[in-house]
Amino acid sequence: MMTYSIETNVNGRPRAAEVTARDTLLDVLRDHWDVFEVKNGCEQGDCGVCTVILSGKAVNACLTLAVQANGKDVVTAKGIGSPKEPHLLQTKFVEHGAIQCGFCTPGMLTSAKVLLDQNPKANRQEIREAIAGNLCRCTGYKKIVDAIEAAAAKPES
Amino acid sequence: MEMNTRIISHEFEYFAPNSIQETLILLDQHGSEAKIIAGGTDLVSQMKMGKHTPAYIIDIKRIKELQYIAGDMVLKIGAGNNLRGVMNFFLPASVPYAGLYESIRSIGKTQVLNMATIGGNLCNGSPKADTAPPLLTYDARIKLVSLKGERILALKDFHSGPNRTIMEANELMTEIQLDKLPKGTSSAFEKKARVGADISKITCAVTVVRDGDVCRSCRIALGAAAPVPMRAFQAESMLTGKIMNDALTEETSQQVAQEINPPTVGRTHPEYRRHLAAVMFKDGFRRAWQQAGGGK
Repeated sequence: MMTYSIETNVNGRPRAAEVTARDTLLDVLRDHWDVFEVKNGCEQGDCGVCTVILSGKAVNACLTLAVQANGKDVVTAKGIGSPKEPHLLQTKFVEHGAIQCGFCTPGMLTSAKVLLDQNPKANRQEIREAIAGNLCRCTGYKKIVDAIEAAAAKPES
Repeated sequence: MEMNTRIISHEFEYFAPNSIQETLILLDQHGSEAKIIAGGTDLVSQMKMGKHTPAYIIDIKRIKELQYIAGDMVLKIGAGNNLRGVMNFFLPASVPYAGLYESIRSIGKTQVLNMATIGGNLCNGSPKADTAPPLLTYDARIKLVSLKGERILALKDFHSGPNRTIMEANELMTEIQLDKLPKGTSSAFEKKARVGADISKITCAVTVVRDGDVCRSCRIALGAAAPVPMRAFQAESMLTGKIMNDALTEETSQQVAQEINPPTVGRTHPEYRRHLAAVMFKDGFRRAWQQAGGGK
């Protein structure tokens, strides 16, 4: 069985693994590197819970082969901010109660982070489009959009 | 119905060439047992369903030579452009190509638009490929390259059956070419899916060249309406050079419904697809017609 050495930078920390070509980035994040904030949902690119920021772009980790991420930067919800120093988006998610069961939240945050990086003053419509690939089955979209909108309204300090 | 097994159950070798030339050499050696991966949004999920079990995967995502959009009289779009890049290039302001913009936008999911490429959307061969109908109405051409040379052919001759194309195992699609559209041209794209951002149930693209009340020409293409993305040539011919009125649009829509060749198996009844085809043609035509007339 052929293996490949890959190196990535996950949330600023260098990571390496021996993988087979068929391992997805999602497999390697969770199974090799214990990056459990990246959730495993549909595994076919429908639900968006595995959304990570790969070289600045929101992608589905379940549809990305781990070998394709070699040499790239990966940012997850934990890389956006920490409990001690939360990102404004994370603060606003808490303030607006934009979390019910929490399973979609890491993906929502990574999608929202990329949006605000590219479009800091995104409006509601743009926010809705940016999270169009992220499903929330608790029907909590309104609060999520509210939270992202509140973060968009304020310049990041 | 294929099941998502959630794992890719077979082993394969992975190559990440840095140039078109390297890719062609790999395709020459392994083509018949290889699959090209670009965005992977179709291929990876299909491998998880066991639909494809290639021995080799050739990743062209890193090849910068395939990522350009340039040209004036002939617009050349590198096959490796991701869909978001193509969509942003054709913002609605560029009226003639609004249908292509709308088709990509209809895919909706940010992550998929970031990953998936325009070449992949076509090479996957799906009769449902969202970008195929608008490109067909622009008379798009595609460039296929192999170590033996290159060939340029009309997109309408590319798909050969459900999930099949005429591309040889040693070939790589490198470019999509669009001729500059004449003044007074506009286009629109209509899609019906089970829910938004879902795989299409049926799609329709319409491109019109308008001169006052006269339709100089109209090109109509449909996706998920036949074994391959198709043009409705007979319906088109009903409009060439005609002064437009509602009765003619209605009559043409009935011809569109007749001309499609909907699958008889699957979730959607053929008669329903025919009904949708007629309605979507009328909606698409109306929008393209108005845009071409400066909103009138």
